Amino acid sequence: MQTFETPESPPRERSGVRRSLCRLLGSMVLLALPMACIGEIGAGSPDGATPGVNTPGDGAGDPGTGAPGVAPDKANTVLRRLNRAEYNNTVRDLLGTSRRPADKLPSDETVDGFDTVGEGLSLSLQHLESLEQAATELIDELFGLPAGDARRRDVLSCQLQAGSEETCARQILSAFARRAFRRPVSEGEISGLLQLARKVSDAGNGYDEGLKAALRSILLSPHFLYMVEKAPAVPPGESAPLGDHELATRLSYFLWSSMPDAALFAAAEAGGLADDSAKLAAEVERMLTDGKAVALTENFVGQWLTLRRLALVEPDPKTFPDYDVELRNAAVRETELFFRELLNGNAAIETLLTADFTFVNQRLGQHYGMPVSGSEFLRVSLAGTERVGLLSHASFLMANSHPGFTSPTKRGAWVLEQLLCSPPPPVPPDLMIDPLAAPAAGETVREKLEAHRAEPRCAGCHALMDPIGLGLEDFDAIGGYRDSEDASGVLQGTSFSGVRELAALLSQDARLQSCFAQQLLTYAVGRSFHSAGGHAYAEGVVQGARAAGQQGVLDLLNAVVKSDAFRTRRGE
Amino acid sequence: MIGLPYLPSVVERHAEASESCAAPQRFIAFFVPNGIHMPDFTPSAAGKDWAMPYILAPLEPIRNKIAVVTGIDYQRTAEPAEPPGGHGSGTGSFLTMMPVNKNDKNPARISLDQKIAKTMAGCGRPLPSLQLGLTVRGDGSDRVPNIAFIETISWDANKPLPFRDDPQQNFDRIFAGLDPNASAAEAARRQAVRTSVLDHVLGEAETLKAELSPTDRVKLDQYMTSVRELETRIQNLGGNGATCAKPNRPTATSTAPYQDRVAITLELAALAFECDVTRVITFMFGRGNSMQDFSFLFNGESTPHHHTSHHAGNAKLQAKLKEIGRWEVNHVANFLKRLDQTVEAGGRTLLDNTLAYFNSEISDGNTHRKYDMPVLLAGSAGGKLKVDGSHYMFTQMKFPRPLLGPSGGPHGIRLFVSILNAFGIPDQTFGDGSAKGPLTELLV
Repeated sequence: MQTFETPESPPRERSGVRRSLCRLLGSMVLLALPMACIGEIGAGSPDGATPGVNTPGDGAGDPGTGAPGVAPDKANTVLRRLNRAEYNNTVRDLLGTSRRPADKLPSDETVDGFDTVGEGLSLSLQHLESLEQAATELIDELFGLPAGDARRRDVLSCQLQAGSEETCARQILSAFARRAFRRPVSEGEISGLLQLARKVSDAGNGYDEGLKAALRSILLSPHFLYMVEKAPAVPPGESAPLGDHELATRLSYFLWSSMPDAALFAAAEAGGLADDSAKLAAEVERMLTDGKAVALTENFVGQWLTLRRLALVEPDPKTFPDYDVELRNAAVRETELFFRELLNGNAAIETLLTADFTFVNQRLGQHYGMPVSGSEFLRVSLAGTERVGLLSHASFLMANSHPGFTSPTKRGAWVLEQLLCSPPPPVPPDLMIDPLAAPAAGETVREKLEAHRAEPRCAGCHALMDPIGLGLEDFDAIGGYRDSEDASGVLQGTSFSGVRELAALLSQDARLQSCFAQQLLTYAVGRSFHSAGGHAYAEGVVQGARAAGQQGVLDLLNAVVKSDAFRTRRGE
Repeated sequence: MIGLPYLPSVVERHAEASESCAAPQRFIAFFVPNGIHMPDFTPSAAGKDWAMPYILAPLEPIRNKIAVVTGIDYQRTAEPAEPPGGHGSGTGSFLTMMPVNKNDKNPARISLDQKIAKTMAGCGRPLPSLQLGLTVRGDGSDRVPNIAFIETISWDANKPLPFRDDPQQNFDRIFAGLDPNASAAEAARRQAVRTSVLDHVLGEAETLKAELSPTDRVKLDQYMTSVRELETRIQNLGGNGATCAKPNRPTATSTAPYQDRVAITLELAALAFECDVTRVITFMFGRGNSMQDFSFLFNGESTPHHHTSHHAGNAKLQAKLKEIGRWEVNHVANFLKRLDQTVEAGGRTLLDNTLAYFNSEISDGNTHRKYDMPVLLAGSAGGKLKVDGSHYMFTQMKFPRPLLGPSGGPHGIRLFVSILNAFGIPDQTFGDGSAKGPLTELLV
């Protein structure tokens, strides 16, 4: 065995290296650096995009097409598999079951932070094995219900009669397939299902088994497992409205993460859903008052405001002996209720940052120093307190901290990414970073970061992230208030101190609205808007709503539903 | 190794099933996150005469059946739009050798394990391949275009093949269809019904395909492929399936402590090979960027893996990394030693017929460099690779290594080509094709 010649690179002297957080090691940088961090908060939209100003919806043009110098948003939603939450909710509404079979599936892939993006969701052998198992369990459960059970009767609406089984089977299968496929089914499809039932029955299994097999096949069908949208008969790049049932399906999965109910089906049957925005708006209004709309909070807000990440937070028990899971759950609930309130009240999106109210129960009130008793959440005023809006929610503060101390960088980066859709660029390769090193004795996190920013290659990005996070230094790593720290900073040339002044400054950032629209679009349409064209499109949706005097959270949700991106498909 | 209550002491082996699979080669890839502390991994000399480094010590009993390969570089000089941190790109390209970026929807993205699995598809094993791993926390800082890039190492036609980590679910999957209480006739009847249902939905998909846009068809193809794979699986459940008695189902679930799940899941991997349920396995000790807390190794002191790997030269953190690496290698060593106890036709052990590949998404967690990777091989793929106790040292750099720039050794693609050749696949390149030809030193 021999060794292989290699150009000898002498080891670099590393004596006397002070423990810096981020050191550029060596001068022989061979790698192209990623895009540098220049510019500052509020310097207009990213990617140099000029916001489009066309009005979406109502038959107007596509807002993503008018901006000069920006590649227009021409993407299409890719065939979406039901994700785990959607599958569980759908079988709940389809069969009345309380089983959650999708919990056994591998976790769903996310794109741009959401698990509704078709492009990312895959289906492997392992998924299919679990889905087959689920179909078997669900249909067996149905057949195991007592004869008089309403759940059973809803699906098995007649009795198989020996010799004329097909009459009843036809009735059962057509009704079930129509609901499961979320659209009318053809005669050809029904006879295919009956053929399957007959084939299994004739193989010596009996007709009951045949019917069960046909019902199982419906739950394994691509028409059930995917949100099927037919290719429109238009030239590539041109848009055509979705079919009424396809649109109803998009809408119900957006607001409920589940299948349409009878009323939405009826609206789709009546037709005109896709080109009558009043009808669509009426459905949105109705659906948001339904209990199933909790899915929008759980799944959209849970991913947009990264509440799902809270499940992974483990504060250091030595530093925070009072922390417990009850507090964590209460923190999630606070943000969920807060968003519902903004939505129901159609509050301006800036209210997200500047709201002078929140929701606490006893456990969270204890954490915030607010006397509330009982496990129920009450709306409380924040006037005169040190808290205001989302940036003082424990959910956000906790999710963006180290186990034992705060991370202004994480908090700042989160605001840039989740609220302004302007994520800082990646950490350059070949930098030494030591994010976990706790501040030295007597050193504050602020001082630690200042030392870090002394490095020129670190300064650019940290200058974007840190001021935001440093303005939140009044809150510790689990969101408790403290007044031991300096929480001042400079943002866009304006000095501020503390969360109130910071929130007021950030609330003036125009990107707040377009970013919210972009996040909603991604979730609702099920594709990425993370491109110059996508940013511009979201901007256009906001402009259109604004021109009509509609600037609230609910307005923006309606604007998304009315947008071409939501209501149409492109030819390919 | 934690003794598991449900294992049979002896696995009863049956004769080889089919002629076409006369050389029963297996492949397993082990992924460990956040790099390895290289000074305690790298043997001091090339060849066979080297002192066992601290991290590799658990492999001493099977020393002549392993090979350490140092100086292999994975990084490309120009990785476009690399996601932050490098953990995502490192994990995403771990077995695919393709860069990971937003615009890369390369339908040809396939991982080494899947490439090998395809050549064995005719062997009629119940599972074409098996993905195992441990769900752990990530710290969320390593944004990747699609989260699958950091949570998955197996890819086929740009489709991620995720793992699950619930021991019971995995057990059920590996031993599906082994129902000792069902008569052969009953089993055949069940299989026929399942196949009829799958045939029906496959027909529906065929019809649907014509009505979809081209990009949607690609997604539907994924579905159809999976349906066909499941049909094949059902066919293989019979006499041509697993070759051992069904062991007892584990009692642990996904809520069991990490260290227990690692042991049990490795146990399941060994069983899957011993019972010849599959010939290709991937095993992830955690996702890239793993934040698994190794406090159980340090008297309860909180030790999140990713943060610890950013040691910034701190001796205490480096000492911890050394222990974590050794703990990982110890688990792998136990698995390999177990394979070495099963003797197969022709006198070779199951380990001899296997090629185990061990690596991480990056080399040094502190710098995220993807040069000089911690590559370990074990078993010789049935005598096809020179895995004989050698240290193949493709770089002459001494520690401390320079932190920038390639090590001067070959690209990892060439190592993969050697592995492919050992499995009878004559390809001369892999992944993005940026390097060619095998490492002839390793070929027999």
